[in-house]
Amino acid sequence: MSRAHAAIDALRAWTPEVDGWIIAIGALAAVACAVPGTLLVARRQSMAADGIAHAVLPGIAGAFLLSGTRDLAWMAGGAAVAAVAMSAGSAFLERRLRVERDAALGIAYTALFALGLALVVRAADGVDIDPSCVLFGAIEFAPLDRVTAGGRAVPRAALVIAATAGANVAVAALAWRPILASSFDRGFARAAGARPAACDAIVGAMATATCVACFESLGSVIVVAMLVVPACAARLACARLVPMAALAAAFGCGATVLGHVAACVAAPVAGLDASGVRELSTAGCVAAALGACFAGAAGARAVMSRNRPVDGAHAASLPCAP
Amino acid sequence: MTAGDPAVAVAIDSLAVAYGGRTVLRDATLRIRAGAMTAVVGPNGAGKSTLLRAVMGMLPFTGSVRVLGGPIDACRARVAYVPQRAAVDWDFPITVRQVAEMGAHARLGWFGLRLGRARREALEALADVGLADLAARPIGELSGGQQQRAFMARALAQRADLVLLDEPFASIDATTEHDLLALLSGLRHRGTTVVVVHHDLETVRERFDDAVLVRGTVIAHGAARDVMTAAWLARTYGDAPHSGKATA
Amino acid sequence: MTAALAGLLGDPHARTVLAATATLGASCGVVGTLLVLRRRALLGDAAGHATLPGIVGAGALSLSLGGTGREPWVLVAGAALGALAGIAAVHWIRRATRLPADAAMAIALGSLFGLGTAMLSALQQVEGGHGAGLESLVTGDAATLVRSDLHVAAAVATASVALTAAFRHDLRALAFDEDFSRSVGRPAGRLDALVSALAVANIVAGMRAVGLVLSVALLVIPAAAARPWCRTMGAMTALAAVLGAAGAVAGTVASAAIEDAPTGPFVVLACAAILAASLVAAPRARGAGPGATA
Repeated sequence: MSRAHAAIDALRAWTPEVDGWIIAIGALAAVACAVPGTLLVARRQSMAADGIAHAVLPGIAGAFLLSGTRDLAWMAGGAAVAAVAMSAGSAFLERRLRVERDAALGIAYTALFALGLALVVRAADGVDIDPSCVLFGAIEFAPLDRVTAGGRAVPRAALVIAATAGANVAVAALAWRPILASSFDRGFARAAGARPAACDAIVGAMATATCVACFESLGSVIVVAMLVVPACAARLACARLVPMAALAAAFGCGATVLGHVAACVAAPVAGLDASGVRELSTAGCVAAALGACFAGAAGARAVMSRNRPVDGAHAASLPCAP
Repeated sequence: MTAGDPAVAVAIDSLAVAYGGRTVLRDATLRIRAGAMTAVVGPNGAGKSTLLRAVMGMLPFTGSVRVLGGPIDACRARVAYVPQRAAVDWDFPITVRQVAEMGAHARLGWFGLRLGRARREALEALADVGLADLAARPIGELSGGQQQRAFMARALAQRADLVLLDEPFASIDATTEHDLLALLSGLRHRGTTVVVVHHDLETVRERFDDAVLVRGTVIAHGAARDVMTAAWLARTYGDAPHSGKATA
Repeated sequence: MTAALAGLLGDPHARTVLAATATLGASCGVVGTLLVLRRRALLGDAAGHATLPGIVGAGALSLSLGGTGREPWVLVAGAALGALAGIAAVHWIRRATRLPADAAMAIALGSLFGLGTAMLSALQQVEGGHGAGLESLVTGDAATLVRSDLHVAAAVATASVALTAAFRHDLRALAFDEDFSRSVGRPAGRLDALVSALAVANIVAGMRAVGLVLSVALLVIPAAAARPWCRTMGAMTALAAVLGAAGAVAGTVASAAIEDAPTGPFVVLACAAILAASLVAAPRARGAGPGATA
């Protein structure tokens, strides 16, 4: 049997109950991530996505150790505490040590992530949290964990992520004007009474909630890719926030489909099924697909752009208008 | 004056600079006299700093720039450049003496073989700017004026034939400005060419030999008293609101 | 823990482990000072995460050629290639798109780590690939260190110290005032490449001990802890080396005292404790740098 046939067979074996839900969960995550991701990128806080995604771990692990349950309220509460600790800690370090914002952030979130990993090792007997799951995600198992909603058994992850996506859109719509103002000109926003610090907190809260909702499925590192990469790709194409968020969501959905297809067909196509490889990690493939699509978009833009690239240190950054 | 004339320190022909699709300078042609003190004057965002950076070969441009008779890379050791103070990390763990030593290293080499000499020359330069007592202090503990003096000491330690300063007098005290202008005049009398981006039109008229008016291109250049007239200044600064904060 | 420490010092293997982690900690302190002062702290994070696809690729290559999939030199070469690819990706994204540096780093970090995850999931399903010990590289396991690791650590530390000392004037000028450094014709690109190469060497040498996810912390935290105490870059480098060694040793001992504990998180927590102590005890920074707002 040829490799192409094997690949087609792999895709024919898809079932709506498993693969359909995997793609649905990934697409919902893409939508949920698009809103905070776009705002973080526009506010030049991309690495804060990295920070939050790592920092929620000790909160989640701590909540699990304390409560002994995977109850969502406990986890969200723990994650919120950890995210606040991360933001406050990095702001304190930046001020006190007078280091750049990135270095302060790096210290705060690696320390918290280390604490989280140490706690996870303690909690590992509790089976449900596993260090490799935390890093790599296990979207393949998400369709198995069902709850009943509206008379149908729906994967818990899908419900949680859909709710988060809805909440993100609702919050962004409600606080749109101050968030927009503070994203582009903090001084003006402050003068106009928009309270940029409060907007930072709102965007941070959205990102935290999204990380908590997605991290079981996608893993902590890959949530970062889902938050930042689609938003950056969208920013290459448009300078306004709403189309940017919409494009980011579409980009993330596309990469999800591509990633899951790649996860299923990569082994037969590469001839690895002979050595016993069946499917690759979907979350990993989605992140890789995001990176590949971004590289394509950036390469196309670089080729099309007539401007000679200016030396990085002095380059005007990409314009972004309200 | 032709580009190869030894009386010309910097020869700029048809210079154009663009960042990210926006043209900051276009069609700038200019001769800076050797041994003179020249002020570069213009509104914010006019391209003054860009002009200096193009002379130093620190950004891509089209056109021709010749420094001390050749390309900048052939004579960097003879040129001292003092960037804007805002471009520097003032919390950096470095002493005043080490800042001045950088100037000596630029001439003597960077591998510490002539460490004693670099240190001696740095201390001499610090004495010239009145900072000898503060040589061991971290740069971040100094006042703005003292920091600018330390930068001037670094330029002095380079013993350059051409000194370019980008807004050295921005937000510093009057005493320091007076002292540094006197130091620059002293350098000029010893034959050094001095180019300063400067805002205070009064000082330019009184203390500088030549002036260059810049706004997107060279509006006028020549002897300060000829160029710093109401008519030329109106053309340089007139209805300038859209210069805004687009500092290049 | 004292019993654990006594046991560790009595055992030649434990002495090797402690010597290797102390050497690595000191070396990371030296290079971390360069990264922090050059404002490139998180480049180490991008490089650290980007090692994963390199390591897994090298392991897979070795397996397919009949090897065990865990020869140290193969994995080290793969990790170094991956880290360099990560740094190259950050530079390329910045040049091609003019996105800010932090966005470029987040993109490279997430995508390459994702790629590594996908590749690791495949390798784990291959016969003989499972349990190739690659997982322990993610969070670190200092107990696996052997004499050859100590030699690698010593070589990397020697190179880091020697190169930093040889180029100290250049590196200081570049980090303090890049415009000046460029104006006198110093090669900023090559000096930055040197700093990146040293960071990669330290991350790769340290991955077995502290893991690649947290390697950036061992670079950045000791340097940050040293900063409030030092007036010069030389002093900061020396103090960061001492604090890095102390943190690495303390974390290794702590993780040895707890069963099945990965080393990386405990080393980072020990470094964070040193930083906290440094911040509590340090004199407040004097003299507001007015230049920062001029």
